[in-house]
Amino acid sequence: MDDREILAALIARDETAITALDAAYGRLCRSIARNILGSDEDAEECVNDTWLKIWASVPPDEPRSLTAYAGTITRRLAINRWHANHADCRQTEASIPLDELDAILHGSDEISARIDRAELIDLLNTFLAGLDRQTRVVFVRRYWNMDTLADISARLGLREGTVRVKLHRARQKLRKELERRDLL
Amino acid sequence: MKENPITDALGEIDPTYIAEAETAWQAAPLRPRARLIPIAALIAILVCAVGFTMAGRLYFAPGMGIIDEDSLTAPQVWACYDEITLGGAKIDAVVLSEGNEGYNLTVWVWRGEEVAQDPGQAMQGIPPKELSEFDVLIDGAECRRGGSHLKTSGFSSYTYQNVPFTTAPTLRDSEGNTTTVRLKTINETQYGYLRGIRIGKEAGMALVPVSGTENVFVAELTDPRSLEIARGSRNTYAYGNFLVTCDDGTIARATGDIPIKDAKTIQSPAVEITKSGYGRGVTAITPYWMSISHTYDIHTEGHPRVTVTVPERGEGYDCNEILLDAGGIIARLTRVEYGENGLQFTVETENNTGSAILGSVQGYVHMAYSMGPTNYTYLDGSDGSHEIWPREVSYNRETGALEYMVKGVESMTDGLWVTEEAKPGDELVVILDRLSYDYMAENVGDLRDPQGGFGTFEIK
Repeated sequence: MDDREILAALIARDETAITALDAAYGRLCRSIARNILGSDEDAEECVNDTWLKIWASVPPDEPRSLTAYAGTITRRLAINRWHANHADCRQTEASIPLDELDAILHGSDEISARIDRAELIDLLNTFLAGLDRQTRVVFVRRYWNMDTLADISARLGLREGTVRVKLHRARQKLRKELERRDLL
Repeated sequence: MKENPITDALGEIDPTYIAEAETAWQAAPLRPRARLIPIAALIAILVCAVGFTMAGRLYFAPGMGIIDEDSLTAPQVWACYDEITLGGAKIDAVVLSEGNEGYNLTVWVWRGEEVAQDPGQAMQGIPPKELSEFDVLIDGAECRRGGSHLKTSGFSSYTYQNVPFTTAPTLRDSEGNTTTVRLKTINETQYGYLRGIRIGKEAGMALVPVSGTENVFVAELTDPRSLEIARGSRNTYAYGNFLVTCDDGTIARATGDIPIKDAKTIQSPAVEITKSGYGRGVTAITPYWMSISHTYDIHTEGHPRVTVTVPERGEGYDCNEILLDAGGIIARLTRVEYGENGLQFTVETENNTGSAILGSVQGYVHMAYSMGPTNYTYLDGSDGSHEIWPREVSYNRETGALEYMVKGVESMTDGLWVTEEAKPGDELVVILDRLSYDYMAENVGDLRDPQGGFGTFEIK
């Protein structure tokens, strides 16, 4: 099934859509969940929850991109589960990307009071559009897919140090943009 | 713990950027050719010794799949082919090979019927629970697993990428049992396992040792023409079906998906050829029949789009418009007709590939109104956008000449797909959306290689 057929099956409440979702996006979603949770077992449960979530939300949702839709739900569920599993804030390899994003705010939690979620998403899209393509891919792989530095470097043929520097500069640029808008 | 709002908002970024990151891939850099020379020379000698001609040398590298000599040199390899029992698992081989950065470690585990009992799960790469926590430790540090391939034949292989060099990796199963494996350099006389053969221009095949006495077969799509079409496609699918005779006279069969896109990556999945007894103990094969079904979802940019006028009911007209010209395959719109059952298109295909035996051809055309663009990045790194087109019902009436029956144009309204009647005089844009074709699919029945290269090879 292609995306449109999966969407049509979901709308028709055809349960084969779940199998098709798993076949088409299972690998991506398991990868995201495993990167965040660091556990195959947790990742599997998270992916199953993703299919249930999609089943419940389509319709009325009609996602433009099933890749992004499924991946976003998995990411959200995995992050929630990670927070639940790590209430003691202990750092693990899987938590490092989240900690890197936290460092942008330097502990400030006022950003959410000064900008609503939709505006923040717009800001991030504008920020991403302003990055060169390679840095954008590195940034998204790190903070959307939650890939490790090693995975990103292997995927893009870059040295790990290069990936680390690109991420550092991108985070600095994002922080400056937040500061410029007086959000920090 | 309060969640960072940036983390939260990043979950909702423009899907274009997600698609871009998902498809971005840097092809493996060319390796120095100097080290290729002694290996290639050795393989040439071995090939002559067993008496068949190769149409281009291939290698199988653990963790890397089948590699064309023009793309990569054969890596240095350290391996242990002694059988090791660890908890409930039987480990057939542990192989360390040079990667692009660092080394790749592959562990072959024999699971027998336990794995084979659920081929559905195996085809999706879902490992049995107890294997999911199978780890490798190097100098006490846990390695990150890059991927695992579960085979329906009973083997499971695990790949760990970019690990430090070691000749003594420690394996740990889910129950905490450990064993340290001693790897030895594979010398030149053992490089036979790297030999492969090319079948036509479509697939590579190799025998791969997984222990001192056991071999399995792997096959992969390595066809440059397929990649040419794939680069102009949104999605590609290939399904391979091979039959070979083994040295003991039995017949082995392999079926499975062969993702063409991944043929460019270092983790190229392999289709394993199996026979009764899960392919173990076989030292020679003779391929005698195969088919590969290709399906390409055509990238709508860069390929022609043809505007046609819907004729009056019961009428039609001939035309000659190219819908696709890629990889030696041409699809041409030759007639538009509005019959009793709706609008019909006739599309004729030409096979100019030279060597391929084109079997059944199926295709879909899309027409009419664009529903908006979705952006992609393609395998060659170029950016593009694909317009989403409503799909009509189509059917294949005759091989080589296709008719597409269209009752109307589908569109999504209020969450439901509805069909609008195409009206005479309407102008519609016709594009080829999906192309499917088979090679050697129908009643080939015998060895047939345009290059005359079929043959038997053995591992000594």
